[in-house]
Amino acid sequence: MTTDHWIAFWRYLLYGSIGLYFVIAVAVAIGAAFDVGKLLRLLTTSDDAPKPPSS
Amino acid sequence: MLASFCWLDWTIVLAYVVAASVIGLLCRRYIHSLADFVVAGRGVSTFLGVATLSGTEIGLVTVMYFAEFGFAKGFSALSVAVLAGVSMVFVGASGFMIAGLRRSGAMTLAEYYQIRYRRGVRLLGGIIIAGAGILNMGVFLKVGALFLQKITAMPEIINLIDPTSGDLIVSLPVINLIMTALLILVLAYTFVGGMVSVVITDYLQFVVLSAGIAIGTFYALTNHTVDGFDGIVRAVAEFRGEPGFNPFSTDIVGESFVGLGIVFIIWQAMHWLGTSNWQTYALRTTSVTTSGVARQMYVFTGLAFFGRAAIPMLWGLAALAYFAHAGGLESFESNRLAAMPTFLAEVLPWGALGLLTAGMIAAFMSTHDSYLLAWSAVICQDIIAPVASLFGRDLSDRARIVITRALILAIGLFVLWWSLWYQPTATIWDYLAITGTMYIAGAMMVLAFGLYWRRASVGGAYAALILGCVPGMVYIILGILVTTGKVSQLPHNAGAWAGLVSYPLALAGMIVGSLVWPHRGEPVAPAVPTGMPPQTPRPGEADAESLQTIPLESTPTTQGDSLRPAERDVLTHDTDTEQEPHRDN
Repeated sequence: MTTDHWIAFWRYLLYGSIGLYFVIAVAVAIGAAFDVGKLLRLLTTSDDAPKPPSS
Repeated sequence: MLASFCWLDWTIVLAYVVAASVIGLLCRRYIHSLADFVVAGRGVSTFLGVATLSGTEIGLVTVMYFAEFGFAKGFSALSVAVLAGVSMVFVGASGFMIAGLRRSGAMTLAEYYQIRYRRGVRLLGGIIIAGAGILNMGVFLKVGALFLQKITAMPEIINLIDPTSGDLIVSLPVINLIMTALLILVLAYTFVGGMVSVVITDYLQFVVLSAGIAIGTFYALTNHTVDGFDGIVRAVAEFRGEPGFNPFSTDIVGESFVGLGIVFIIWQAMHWLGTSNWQTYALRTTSVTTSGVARQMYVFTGLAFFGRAAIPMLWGLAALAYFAHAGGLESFESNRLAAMPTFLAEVLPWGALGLLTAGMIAAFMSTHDSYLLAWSAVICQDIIAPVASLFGRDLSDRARIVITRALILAIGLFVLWWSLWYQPTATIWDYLAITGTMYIAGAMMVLAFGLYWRRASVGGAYAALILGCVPGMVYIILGILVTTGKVSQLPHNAGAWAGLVSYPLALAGMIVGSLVWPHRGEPVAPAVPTGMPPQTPRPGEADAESLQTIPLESTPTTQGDSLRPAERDVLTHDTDTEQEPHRDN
């Protein structure tokens, strides 16, 4: 691979990585908000009994 | 013009720190048992798992060392982003190691060693895991404090003057003060809230961190002095040359080794493949509700991991271009770690500076709390508790939580001392990767062969753990000798070679050790904890046969020495039970 090939490769990788990161970040931020609620409900049940499924 | 922190920036930062700390402290009310404290009652679902794993592994130290790496190595540094992302996605898609670990019911990785091998393997594994992990964590405080000092443009020294006589009372290095303040902040809520506060604050930190990353990336790419991607390419071509673009290319310029090279690439490929063994990853694997959730978490996190490495590297590359075009690059060639925060302090406007700093403090807190909890849990669960049981003392839940909290404090103090004393000889990434390899090389072989090779024995496990640790330990000791002036210089690329040989050494140790010292008895008992029905894997899961490879002799001790009866119910509750009606009882 020539240097120009490497530059093109890194350009796509860099912009692709940035885009992918923020798409996942938004999805996770929304989805995890619901998961936090599930976790807290789970932890408020009795610690002596098996806990209900959370998903 | 150098922007400096104004009241708006400080308000944003303080508001965030107070909010995160209060939420972390409030989580104390959810701690009812050891399982709640260490693995959040195994109630973490997919998205929260991704948020907490990403929040933990995108630390301020991560941003700093990847930025330094991008600044030093040019675009070639991005090869680490590729290897990290591909490896994580592969592990998640295949379930390689993680599905078996989650199904074993172990709370820590070393606990699995006892389930599969013997108590002694757990002890040795726990010592190596905790030792290498705490060494790895040893530079976090200093790197984080350097970022905050540079981005807030604080002075390096504060002089306390006697107001009456005008005499100097004492000179205090600002970095040391920041390190102490950061440590106290994180210790407070990790000490009280355990894994629940870690998980909940990780979510908040993930959101704030992502906002900070977005701001930093926008200004790095749009700054006119940097001149976008093309400006970065020009700077890399001029100051890093061919090895700055081609990761397989290396060169010797003067006394310096330039580029990455094939040795480094192969080492990193093995390192990232085994990273799921890293205790903070393993603790997330054991904290999620099912092995299926663990796999989903790794796939999503792996995709995010491309950006986790690439975005800070972009900041480092932008800093290189900025100082190359604006002047002053020479002053950062000997202190590359300082380049990125200085660059951001110069290009970010007020308000944005505060938001980014709040995001980076979030990154620092989310990493530090998880690491403190991870290593203290290993020492308590895998070293102290097994040793106590050898002497006929079974530690109660309450005693274990007290010990874990005391260890959190002790590790925090050690990390502060190590940060003040130790000077890394290469880039921070080299130091972190080699200390990680000391643990991952052996741990990966012990877990993988334990899951997938019936003949893996106790002798093989001991040999793999010891041989995987030795090259890294030699490298660290030589580095200390260089720091103290007893050795003049390490050979070129010594870190990469030390890392590379660790994996084949550990592999050879496992295979040869298992063949020379085979275990006695037939390995037929399933790896499900006492009292649990055997679990049918989901279609396509890679650990179907792995559950059949646990030595019969080890099952009576499965989790028995570390878990209380009520807790065992909690820990072994896997919602696969409800989700899979065809379970074979």
